[in-house]
Amino acid sequence: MTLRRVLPDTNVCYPLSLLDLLLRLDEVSLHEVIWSEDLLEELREVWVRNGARSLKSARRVCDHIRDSFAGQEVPRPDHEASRRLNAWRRS
Amino acid sequence: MSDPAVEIGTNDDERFQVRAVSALVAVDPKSLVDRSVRVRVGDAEMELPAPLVEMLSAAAGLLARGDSVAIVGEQTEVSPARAARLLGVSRQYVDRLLAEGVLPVRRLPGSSYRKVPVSAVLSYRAAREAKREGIRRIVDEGVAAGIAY
Repeated sequence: MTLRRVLPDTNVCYPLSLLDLLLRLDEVSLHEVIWSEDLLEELREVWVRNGARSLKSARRVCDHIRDSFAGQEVPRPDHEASRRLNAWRRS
Repeated sequence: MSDPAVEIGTNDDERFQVRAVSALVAVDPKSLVDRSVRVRVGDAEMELPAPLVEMLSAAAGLLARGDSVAIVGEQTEVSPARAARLLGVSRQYVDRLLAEGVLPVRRLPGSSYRKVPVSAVLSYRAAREAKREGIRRIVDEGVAAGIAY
């Protein structure tokens, strides 16, 4: 049995409550959240575009994810492959 | 089978003395070269080397505030029960971490005993604390930005 790895979509990380829950479940090792620069870039963009956060605040949150979950980054090509796989599974 | 680890706590009277020692040896590790701490046992007296002064300073600080201290070698392996105590979690929680491969485990040949490297336990604890602090900052950032939870 291995720990389940989770690559969240941007809409899951968008609300603070879900982002908090997602990360806390990782903290207690119920799953392992993996992230990529693509995810953080998209998250920052939609927060700012929708007026949910200032650019400064969005950047700070992304920095905290980078720093605190440093060993769990997946490179961009891997992220893209996972997204295509998820899209294929949903189709 | 006992684990090669030492756990130290204090009572109220001892804590008072430990606070005084803590204040005396609470030195910046970088400035240790300028400070000397001498230990006398019977007629013999010698200066403590910097790593021991650093350890004494850290332990005294923790004991002074009522915390207990465990001294465990990084190469040491401990039982799942001891790992649970080091992490401040239940034994069942550690069993799950071992089953899911989050923490490495070594089974002793011909026995049901399992051993966990302390270095892995301490790394896991440090990573978990860093995550907890990061999540706290993310939530604080959201509250400061006026975002509804």
